[in-house]
Amino acid sequence: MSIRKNGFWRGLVLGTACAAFATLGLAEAALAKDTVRVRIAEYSTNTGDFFIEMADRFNASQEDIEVVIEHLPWPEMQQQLITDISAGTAPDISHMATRWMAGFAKDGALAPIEGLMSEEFTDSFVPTFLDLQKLDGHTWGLPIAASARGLFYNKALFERAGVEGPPATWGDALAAAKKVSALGDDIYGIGMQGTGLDTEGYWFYSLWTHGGDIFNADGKSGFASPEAVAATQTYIDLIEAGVTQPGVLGSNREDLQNLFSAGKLGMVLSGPWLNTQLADEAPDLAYGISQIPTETAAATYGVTDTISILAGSEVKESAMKFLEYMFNDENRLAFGKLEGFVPVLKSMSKEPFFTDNPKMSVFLEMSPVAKFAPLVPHWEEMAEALKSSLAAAYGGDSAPADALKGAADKMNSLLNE
Amino acid sequence: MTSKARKSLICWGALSPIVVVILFPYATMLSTALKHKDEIFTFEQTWWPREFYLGNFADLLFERGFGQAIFNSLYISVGATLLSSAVAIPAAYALSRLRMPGKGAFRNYLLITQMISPIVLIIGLFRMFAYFGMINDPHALIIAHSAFYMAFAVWMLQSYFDTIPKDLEEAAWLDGASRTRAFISVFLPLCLPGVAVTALFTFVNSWNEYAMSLTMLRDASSQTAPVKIAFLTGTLYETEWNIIMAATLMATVPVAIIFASIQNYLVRGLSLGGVK
Amino acid sequence: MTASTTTLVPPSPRGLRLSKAIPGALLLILPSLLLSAMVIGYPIFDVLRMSVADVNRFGRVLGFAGFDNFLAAFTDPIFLQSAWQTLIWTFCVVGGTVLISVPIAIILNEEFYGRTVARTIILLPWAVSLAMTALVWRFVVNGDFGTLNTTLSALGLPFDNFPWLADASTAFGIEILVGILVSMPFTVTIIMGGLTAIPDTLYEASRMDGARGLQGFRHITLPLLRPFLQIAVVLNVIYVFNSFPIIWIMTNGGPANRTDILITYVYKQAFGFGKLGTAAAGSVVMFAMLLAFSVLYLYMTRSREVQQ
Repeated sequence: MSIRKNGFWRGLVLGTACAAFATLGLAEAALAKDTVRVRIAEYSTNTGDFFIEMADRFNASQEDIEVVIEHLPWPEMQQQLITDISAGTAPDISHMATRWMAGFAKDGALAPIEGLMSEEFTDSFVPTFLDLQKLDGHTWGLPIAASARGLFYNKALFERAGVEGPPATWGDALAAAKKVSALGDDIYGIGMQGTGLDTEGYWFYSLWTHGGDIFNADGKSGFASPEAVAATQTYIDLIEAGVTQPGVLGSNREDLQNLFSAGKLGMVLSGPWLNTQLADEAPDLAYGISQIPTETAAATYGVTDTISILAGSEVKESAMKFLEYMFNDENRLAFGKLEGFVPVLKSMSKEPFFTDNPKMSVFLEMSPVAKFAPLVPHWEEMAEALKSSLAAAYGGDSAPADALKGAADKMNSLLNE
Repeated sequence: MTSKARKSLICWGALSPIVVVILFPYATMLSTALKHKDEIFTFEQTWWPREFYLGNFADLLFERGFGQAIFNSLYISVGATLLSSAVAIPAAYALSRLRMPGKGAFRNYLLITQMISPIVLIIGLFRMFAYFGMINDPHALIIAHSAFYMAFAVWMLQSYFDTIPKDLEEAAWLDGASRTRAFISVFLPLCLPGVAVTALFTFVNSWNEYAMSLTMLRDASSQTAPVKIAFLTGTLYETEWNIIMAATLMATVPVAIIFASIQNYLVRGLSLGGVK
Repeated sequence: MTASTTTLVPPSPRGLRLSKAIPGALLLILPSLLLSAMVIGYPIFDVLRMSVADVNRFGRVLGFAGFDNFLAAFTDPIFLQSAWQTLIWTFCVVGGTVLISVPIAIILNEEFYGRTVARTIILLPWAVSLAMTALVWRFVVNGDFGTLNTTLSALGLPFDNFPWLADASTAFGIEILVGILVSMPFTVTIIMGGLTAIPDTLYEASRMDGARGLQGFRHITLPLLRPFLQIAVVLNVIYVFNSFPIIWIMTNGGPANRTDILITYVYKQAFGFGKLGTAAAGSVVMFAMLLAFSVLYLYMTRSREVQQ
């Protein structure tokens, strides 16, 4: 009896042990999954959730890779990435501004990915945007977001001021801004950015449409070229005519968007994300979007953001699998709809969401004349020097040619570092 | 009018400019926090919300996990207060009561640790805690905060301890109490107000600290209130002022309550000690 | 108080005959020493090392650089400009703080109706982190949507749409005011502690001698407050000199670097431009400036005391 009983217990123990081992074995298989840490910067409050849901779907769709999303706001992104890389705690994949990419790649933080990308995947991108991620013969990331910039104008204010349609040239813009400004003390003709993120971008609109460029033909800084001086003078004329918002040097990009959203601003140069904000905060505002006014040439500022695989990652191939998933048609369309960016995939260029909506298609139409910030290692510092020079010129502290020469000298010396 | 009433009028009158300047941002927070998002940037600005909207607070608590952030902040601040008191009280006691060489050097050392901003030390701090695998660990922050705020605590406590007459302890020894026992049963109760005030200083500094918390706590669920506020609102293209203001108000409340309730204690504690 | 000039902090009265147990004393000090040496020591070593090294943007040391990083900082006109602005910033904020804190503390030390409420209100700016305070103030002084201009125009003043942060001098002025506001609670608390330590009998005696009001303040209050003021000044100088969020959030150092101070300069070098070496050198210079100030100030205030 006791034997039998013992046998029963022994069997039970044995069975349990087997089951336990089996479970452990399974757990081990689960542990063998590659974990891919992905860091995303937030364009809006929905960005984080969007990528978390995407990762959930990806994780459920296969057995080998577990993607974990970390998301944080843009202003904190650079510092955290630098501290993480310096301590060896960086994620496998990270989102970044394309302008940081050159410096990060130069200091060895990024993995070249051309070898990980299938030909078909490589071919799915609009070449302009993918080319922007290349430097020294390597591809350092994928263009996760792209935007162009245009002129937003308030239709109601234009009508009240008797301005017919958006201005085609900077001369027209000044005339239109004067009429709109005359409507009242709280109404300003055109927004002018003087501080904060992308202040230099606001100036590039004018630089490029005056035929200038960031580099001269000799490879040196174009910040102080005659075209650049003329471009700056155009903005100073607007400021001195009193047709911009007061306090240009204290106005950042967001301040201008808020003024436009409140119906206080006749025109502002901005990107497609402003559509999303306006739909949310000022659904009744009647506005149109047109090309950036020209002087000698048509141009717009094309900006991309990059998503890269980091050099320290031990799961680069799995990371690329997730990037392929992230860049499939379905996910890209959903992302475009969420954040209002211009498509970077060839297949998306004919998607009705981008082509049939005039507030999106205008940015697509400008793509051929888009110009981009250069990929040089010290770009952030060059842009900062430019911002300071612009503030001195806009504020009337020094003549535009003198102020710009300071920025150009700084850029030239940084190019030699 | 009694003379105290007249004096009160004069005192409040003299304080009124600074009171207005202090309360002005709070009024702004309240006004903005009670507005719906689409009412923040309108053509005509008003103080009074069109309708009183409590959704921002609800959003913060239920949708965005701000309650968790407040809890994390409390955990870290209380932890830092305890740890820093635990190391500062013995040190201050030694400085105040015991004979030892290098007291001045030790005090100078403490002052020097205060001279470098945590922002400058961020990379080194992060590397060190990453080496110990303590990223995302609230205890890393408790240790870091204690290390930075301890100097001030030692300092205040020492000058407080100096004001407590030695006769009482000596009397206890004569009665046969051991040094430790005399410290616990005679000395500590006497210096409680000073300890409490010092603890408050540490608590508030830890509660408000941003740069170290931002760097060390990466996980959304482990963030402290000041970091959470920045994370909730720092998207690329717009700032959600209604949410920021509601969050700032909420983060103020616990500290304000502590200030109000510890009020008399605060002055009494300082008055005996202060910093000599 | 001793006249020793070797210590930065006034030492406590000595001559205690309570114990000669030096090992015990060291044991009590050891935990605090270890904690700060470990947590603050390594990062300081890291900064010192990077300041004389050729480092990449991720802090990897590529070689020895001698004084190149210091040279890079000192030849940058923006560094020198920031250093000058740091002096103005620190002087104005600390000076302003002490000037308003003394009368506030004296008032709060009086008996009057609602004193607890008044004390709580005065402490309020301390209840919010600097970053949040700065953010809220940026909104308050916004030209078109800020509550400051809304209120001023409602009072009939011509500040409709006035752009407070657009001009370097008004922007810096506002930042200094915010700096004063947030430094005030700490300072008031310290001074209040000093005031309550002054026995009333001293005033009564001087009143009998015919001194009143201001005279009492000059001859009794101020001298007795001196050690408290001295500490308030040293600590405030250290904290304000290193204070980052107010300027960073309100103006980011602009327009044209005219509100940049050393700490914002260092931060931009480190995390914006990837020049950790220059940033580390800048940090070392900042530390040297503070150290020099503390030694000098405490030496000066102490020698005056000795003369008395």
